Amino acid sequence: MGFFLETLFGGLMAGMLYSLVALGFVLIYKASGVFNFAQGAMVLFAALAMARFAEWFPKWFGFESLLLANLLAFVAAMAMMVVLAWAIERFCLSKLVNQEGITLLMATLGIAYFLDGFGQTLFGSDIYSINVGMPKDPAFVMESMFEGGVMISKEDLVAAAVSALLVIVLALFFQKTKTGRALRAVADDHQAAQSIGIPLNRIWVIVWSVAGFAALIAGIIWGSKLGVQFTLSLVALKALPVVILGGLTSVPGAIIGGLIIGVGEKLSEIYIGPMLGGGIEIWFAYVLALGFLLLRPQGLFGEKIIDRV
Amino acid sequence: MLYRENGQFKTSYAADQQIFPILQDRWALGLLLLVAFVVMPLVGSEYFFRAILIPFLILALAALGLNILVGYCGQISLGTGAFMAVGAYAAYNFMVRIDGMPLIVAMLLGGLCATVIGVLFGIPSLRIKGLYLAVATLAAQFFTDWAFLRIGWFTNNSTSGSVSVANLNVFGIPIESPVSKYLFCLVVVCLFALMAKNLTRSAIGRQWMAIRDMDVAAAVIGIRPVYAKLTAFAVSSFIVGVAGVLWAFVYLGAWEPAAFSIDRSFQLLFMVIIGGLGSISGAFLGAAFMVLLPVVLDQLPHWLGIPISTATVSHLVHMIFGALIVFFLIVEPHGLAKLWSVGKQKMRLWPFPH
Amino acid sequence: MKFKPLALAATLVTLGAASFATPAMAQEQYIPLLSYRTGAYAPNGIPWANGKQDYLKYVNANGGVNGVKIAYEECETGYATDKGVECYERLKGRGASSFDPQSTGITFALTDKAPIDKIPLITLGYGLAASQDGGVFKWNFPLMGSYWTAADILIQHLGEKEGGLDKLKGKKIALVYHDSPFGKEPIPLLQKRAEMHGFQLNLLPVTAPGVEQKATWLQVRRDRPDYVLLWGWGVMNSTALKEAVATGFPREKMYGV
Repeated sequence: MGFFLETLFGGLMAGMLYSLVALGFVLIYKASGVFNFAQGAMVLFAALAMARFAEWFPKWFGFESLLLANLLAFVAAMAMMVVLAWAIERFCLSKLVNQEGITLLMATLGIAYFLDGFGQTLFGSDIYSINVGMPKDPAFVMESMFEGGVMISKEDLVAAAVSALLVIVLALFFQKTKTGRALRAVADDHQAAQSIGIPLNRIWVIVWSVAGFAALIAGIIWGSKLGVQFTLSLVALKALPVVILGGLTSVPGAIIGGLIIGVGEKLSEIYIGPMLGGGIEIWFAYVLALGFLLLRPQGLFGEKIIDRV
Repeated sequence: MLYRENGQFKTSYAADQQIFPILQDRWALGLLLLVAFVVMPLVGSEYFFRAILIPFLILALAALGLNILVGYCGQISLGTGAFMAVGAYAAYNFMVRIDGMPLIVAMLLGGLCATVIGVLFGIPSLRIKGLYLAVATLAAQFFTDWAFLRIGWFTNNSTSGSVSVANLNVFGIPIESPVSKYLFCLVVVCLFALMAKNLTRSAIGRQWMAIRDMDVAAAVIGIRPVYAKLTAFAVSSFIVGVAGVLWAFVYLGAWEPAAFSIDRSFQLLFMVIIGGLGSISGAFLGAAFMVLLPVVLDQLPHWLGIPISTATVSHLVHMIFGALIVFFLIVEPHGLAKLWSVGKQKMRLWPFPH
Repeated sequence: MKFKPLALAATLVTLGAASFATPAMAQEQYIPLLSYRTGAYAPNGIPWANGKQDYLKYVNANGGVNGVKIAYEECETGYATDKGVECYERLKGRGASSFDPQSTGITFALTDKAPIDKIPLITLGYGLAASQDGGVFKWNFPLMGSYWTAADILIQHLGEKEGGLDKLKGKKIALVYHDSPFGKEPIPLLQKRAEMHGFQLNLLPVTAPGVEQKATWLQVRRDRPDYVLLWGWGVMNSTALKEAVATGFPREKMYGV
């Protein structure tokens, strides 16, 4: 029982991280109808920038403070993500307006490839660490109830708290600010939004920047857990089933979908995996999402798709 | 001036409907085939065969298969590598388990197995499309990666999970030397290209294109979407499966599932986009481009004498591919093949464009 | 007249010697370096590639091997088999004296080609474990043992630590391995050893490239093995260490290759 709880917690924590990446997908899809395959590459790019700047700034400017280095690196990385968002809008999206979804998807695949190469040319392809002072040791709770207690990683707890905070901030941003309202208007109907004077191009830059921000947070958390390396861009592939399950247009869907996939993955790996020889979690998430697609194509919380085949 | 069709009159329907209606095109193609079949084996070096021509031919075949699905029928697939793997491992099992299995039969049976799996994963396409379908094909990719790694039966219980084949022969002719491997691939690719070209010109090909352009309208004029989509999946995965057999047997010789990973799927999709969605020659142009560019970029610093790290080059290749994909999608969605035909159109009028 | 054959022989010998001497006179021996500085395995590939280059530079700076300088050229494989084959084909044409593929997958693919080209494949502590039998794989030269040797050394070390191999009876040893031909190589040996000494072997595969190990380490925590053998590469190792810390597995009980 204690072990079951541990698995459950592990799954929830992993799911929280998937949600963070999935959130980036949902934000962009809502506002521009682009399924952004490059979200994983953006996570990698942001994390690489963060890790390397935090390493370089103290050397360039000759200071010691880790906090200052991290803060400056965060600002610099965020600035890069904004520039990136602008460049993507300027050179890619604005030229592909009114194209089919499948074309846009392939364009983001191209962006993903470009970013992978660009990020590694700038920052190197070795493994780098991000040190933002996350606790590394596990904690044990409920030791009186189970032998050995139930282990919870403190780092995961912090990560989950940060993710939750991010979701709340984003929700507030969307509901309460003027820009947020404009974003939602664009999401509902491009043409109507444009006709009442909402500048579409600027909105896209903003929404890609916000997705870049989500990518940066995800990158910092993943990077501080596991180190920053090329493979980080593969988290996009882990987040795909999450968005399918939760629905492409729903922020709560991304969160709940992430948790379901995270828990389902870990439980299946540990309880079904040994029967099949192990290593099943990667396709299990996809099969779960696929089965779901057949029953409910719009996902858990997605808007109903009218133009089905 | 040279490329004129003045005086070439069609006097029968057959002449009007042939694949290359213009005389000069037929000459050019004949010349190309002559170079490929006769001149190349005489002059090509071993490196040229093994590292460039053979992978080019096989990948072109796979891209051809994918192009039928993506370019002609409009169904996106990110699981091409999986269908290649199914073909390769199925053919391997036929070769190992049945004594005296001829290579050609094993290859076609491998293709058939890929067809079955392709249709199976194509079934979701009846209900979902676009990027949802991409996810379904990704499921195929990850599942086959896992299955060929974990299920010992597929690899004949090889302890390491890596399998190899040796002593290939066709009708008693050994396929060992680079030239014989090249010619074998060339024959297979030419036959399949001819078949694919004719399929896309036939009724079924027109049905695929109708589904691609607008599925609802196609259904209204009496095209069954189920039939059209599943045949596209079947034909596409058959060709891709055969390409997988060639890749594993002829090019690599010994392989592990990583040879058919998701990277391969992306690579093939890029070939189709860069080469040209919905054209047969596009698959060849795209494959040639994708095979040659990294090789040329790798060698360029060596030729120019610029000291540049190999890692930087490989990142540059990534960047160039990414940028080119975006570029082609924006500027010329029909890729290199379209540029080629635009060039031809210009040639017809040159030097008097008016 | 009797001198004629002799003279001919002498000329032939001189010619032969001259032709043998030419490469030595050129003072160069060409060694291609296959390396991977990109992709999921770069964290291991970069230092390895740098180290080999530095060593060759050092040898050259000291005057080379018996006065023969070593020329080298690097080719990026990204740990991918097809790129490796392309590199092999390209560089062997430049007079390669040996190949060190730096990847088990590429070694597998080249094992059939090397005997035809008569180029030795040198595998330093990796590659085809079965190639220890030089009679079968004539052109594979495993140096410093193979994965079987490595696994065996690990087991013997554990035995020593416990005070004799017989003390391993009833112990639990978990193998956390990279799910690829590379990671599966030691399994047959460990299984035989487990039968011999009566320890329990738990196999825990990690899907390549190895960034997803939470479930694996949760299993380690549940089973509480006495030792963990870590058979990872590239990004998998760093992830494994971080996950081990996060699950509180003592590091002195972990052994890696």
